[in-house]
Amino acid sequence: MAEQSRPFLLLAREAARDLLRGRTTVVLAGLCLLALLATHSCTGCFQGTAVVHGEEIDLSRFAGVASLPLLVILGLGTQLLAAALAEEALRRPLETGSASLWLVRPIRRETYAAARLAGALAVAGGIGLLLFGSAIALLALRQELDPEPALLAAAASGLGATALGALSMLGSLFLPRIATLGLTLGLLSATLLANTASLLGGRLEGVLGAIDRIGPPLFAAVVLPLADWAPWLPIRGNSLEVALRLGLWALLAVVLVLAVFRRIDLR
Amino acid sequence: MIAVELAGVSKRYGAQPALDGLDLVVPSGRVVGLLGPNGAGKSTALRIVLGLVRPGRGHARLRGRDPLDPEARRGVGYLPERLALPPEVAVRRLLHLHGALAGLRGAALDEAIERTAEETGVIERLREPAGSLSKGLAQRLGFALALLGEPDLLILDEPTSGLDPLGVRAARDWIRGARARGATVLVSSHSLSEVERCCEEVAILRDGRLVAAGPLETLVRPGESLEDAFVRAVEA
Repeated sequence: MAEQSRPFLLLAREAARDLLRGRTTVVLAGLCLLALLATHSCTGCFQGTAVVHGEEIDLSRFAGVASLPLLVILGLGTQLLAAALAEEALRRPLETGSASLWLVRPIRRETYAAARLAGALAVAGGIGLLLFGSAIALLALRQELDPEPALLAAAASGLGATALGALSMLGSLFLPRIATLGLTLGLLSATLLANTASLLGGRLEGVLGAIDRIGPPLFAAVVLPLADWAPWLPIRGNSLEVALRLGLWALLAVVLVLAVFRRIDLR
Repeated sequence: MIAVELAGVSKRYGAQPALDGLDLVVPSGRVVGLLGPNGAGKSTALRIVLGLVRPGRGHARLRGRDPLDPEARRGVGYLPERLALPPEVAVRRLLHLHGALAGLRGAALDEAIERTAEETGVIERLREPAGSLSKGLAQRLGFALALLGEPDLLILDEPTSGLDPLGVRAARDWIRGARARGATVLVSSHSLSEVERCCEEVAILRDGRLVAAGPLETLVRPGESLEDAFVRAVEA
């Protein structure tokens, strides 16, 4: 495998450059700017005091609860971005036929697919790091919140991005783009619903129950570490167990997409 | 030594058969033309040889190895029928990436890029994006990618497509140059006159099967052209 590390790095860098060419860069830069403005605005709330019914209340008490949705949105957004980029990363060279030019070189199919996925995850991860880093720094400075839960949530988002990205890439091998993105969004939404109900103590049956118990805990893994910021919220769950399950999903999804890509015909 | 071997290879795309028990052997160091009418399975056969498509039945060997084994593809140059170059990537960068993936490094890589770009006539366009090249120049760049690092097996699918007469003549020289180095060349083409000029052997496919194969002098009867021999083989 060592002889495949150099091609992997070359191809991963090229995949990231591919994804950042043209209009995508403008769209991503615009989204980043909006997210940074929202982060700046959201982390500025809950400073100082407010008077309610004549009683002065320190607003920083609510900083944790208020910051939780911000980081959850950043986490889910990073996962969705990774899925969209990973879908594009392999579909485009397969559609144009340029994948064949690379794959006649002495590289493994798995190396090529892993490099394309790594390129997509590097772009999404870079943006995620920028946004999470800004939010964590601003929350620590303005609200004096402990950064550890946010760092754990960021790490969980990375695992979720890997799992969702690999599943989305797998879908792109067989389905049109709109169908793959629809299914990806559907999985994320269903997981959001199922995990929310479960985290709040609900008992789910049927498909949602199955998604919650054995599916990738894309939402729960981000929320659970942040529960330390708002201990009075009725959030239940074992964050280590959930993170391990998400890690296992990420590993399985990557192995699956590589194994399937090895077996498909490139026409 | 055998460079390429297909044994009993069948392939279907859905209900459509592309190859039907194809047997083909390409000896090392020979220039072999792969001929056949449209839909005979030439491109599918080449893609199976390169490991891009998996055979439904039978097996393919590239220098005795499974084509999916990366080592089987070391020292292989390929020019596809439908050349898809990443449009935004500069010509030099494309050559650099392909050379690096082929195993070239440092000064040897730079030297190979300069020499191949010069030889194929894209040296003046190294800074330009591949998408800005005309069809003929893009095909020359395709040749440059295939020839980079002096491969010992060259697989060319319709190599003169899009080339002007000067380009066609140059392509013939590149093939002859590869042959002179001792490389094996497997070339699929509809241009029988080019095959007649470049190739030592031909293999003729029809409906996914091999219907004739051998050295040109044995396939083409006295007083016949390759076209006559081709028509006789596919209409038999």
